[in-house]
Amino acid sequence: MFFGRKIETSEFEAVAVPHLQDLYRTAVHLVRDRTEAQDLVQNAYLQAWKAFHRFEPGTNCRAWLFKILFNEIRHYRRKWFANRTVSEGEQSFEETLPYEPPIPEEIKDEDVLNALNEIPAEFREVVLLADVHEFAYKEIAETLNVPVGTVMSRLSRGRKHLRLKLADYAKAHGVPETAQEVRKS
Amino acid sequence: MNVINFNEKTCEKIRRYFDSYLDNELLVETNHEVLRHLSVCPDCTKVLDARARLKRTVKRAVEQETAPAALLESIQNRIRGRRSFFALDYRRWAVAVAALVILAAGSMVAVRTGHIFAPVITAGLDSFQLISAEAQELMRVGLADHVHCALVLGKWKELLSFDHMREATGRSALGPEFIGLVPMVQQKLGPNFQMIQGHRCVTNHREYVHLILTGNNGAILSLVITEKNGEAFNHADIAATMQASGVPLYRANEGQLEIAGFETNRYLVYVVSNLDRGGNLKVASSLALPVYDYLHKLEG
Repeated sequence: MFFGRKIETSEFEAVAVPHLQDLYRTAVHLVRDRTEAQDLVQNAYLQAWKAFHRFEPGTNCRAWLFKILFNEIRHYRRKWFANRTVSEGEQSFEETLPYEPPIPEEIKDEDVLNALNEIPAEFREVVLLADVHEFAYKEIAETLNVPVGTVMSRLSRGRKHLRLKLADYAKAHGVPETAQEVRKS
Repeated sequence: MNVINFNEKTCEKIRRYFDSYLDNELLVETNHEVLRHLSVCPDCTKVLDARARLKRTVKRAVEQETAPAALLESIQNRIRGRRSFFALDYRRWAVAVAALVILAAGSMVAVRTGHIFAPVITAGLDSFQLISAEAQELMRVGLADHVHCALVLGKWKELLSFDHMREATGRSALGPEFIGLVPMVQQKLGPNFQMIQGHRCVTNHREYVHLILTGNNGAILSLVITEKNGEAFNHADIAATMQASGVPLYRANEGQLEIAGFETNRYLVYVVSNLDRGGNLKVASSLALPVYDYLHKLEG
């Protein structure tokens, strides 16, 4: 910090508060509960405030806050859920799918949100970080504490899950299949 | 160069790159390979387009959720309650933070890769052969971002409100130093052009400030600004086409795309569009002086 002086709350708020919406949206979609999400975001901000003396001005505050939020979320998950991982069976099923599903021409936001909430959390978090918050893979890897290769494979599988869900919804709604994404083989 | 042998295996291979392509994470050479394939494969282009659309929809849908005002209030109360230092004027800090952001942006180094992608459109290369390879490469710095971001990723379809752009955070936000370009450019170009969005983006590992506008008859126009990395129009073997209020303008064309460029001490600026030569130059010349002044002020 500048000349080792005390840190002002206003300084913290000026750099950290602008990211509140991004953190909240991420938390809502990861825990699927608005009240829990608010608690998690609030805890993340308190943690960030306590550790703010370690934050270097001018560096990426948003990435730093996300990392803190994901720590909070991990803690929360450990507390309340058995950490859900994709079973081997599920993986091989997914990888032997014979075709790439078509993406409907008109995608409703509501369908996308439903599809997103139905895919496994470890895929969902990567999709949120890449598609919504547009973090670089390297930043995502640092936020989640996983190798970049893992980020890439989770993202690719997460997006594929989304396409499958959306194709299912479209079929259920009776929407004609356009923009065919048939895998050539 | 535009004769490409591709078969179903090629499509499969290229599609495996699509996720990284959409996220601007491919190496320049691979990016090039994808673009070359897209220029000859309508099936893959359709698939990529659908995936880009899904990516945009995910962002839009998630961003509908907003935090309740009570959350901010509660966080502020908890933080302020923790320690009671004398309160500094919030706005003074906002100014200091803005200055830090500008300093940080100033120290960002755009990585020069030495490779600028080959154009998707392979016709109309003649005009480029008239100027040096260096000048050609320099003009493509602006073209690359327009083609990749505005056209291929389909950002030209993604209308953002000024408030959205102003309040955006993160690496795609224009930020306090560049947000002022949005109303200024809109006002200069008048009602014939609609501002679609302004953002920061990365194409081929180079950072850009990018404004996208649309006009009559399907016109799509980009104002593209990037920090110089040792390059300069006036060093390249290229003569200015015209002067706009004392700012030399350079031009080239690539297929159906017209490119006009000018420079400040620190930035390269491009106007790229599918307007005709006169139309694109007219836009560039009306923006040259005000954009030059704006950037000049940033450079301090």
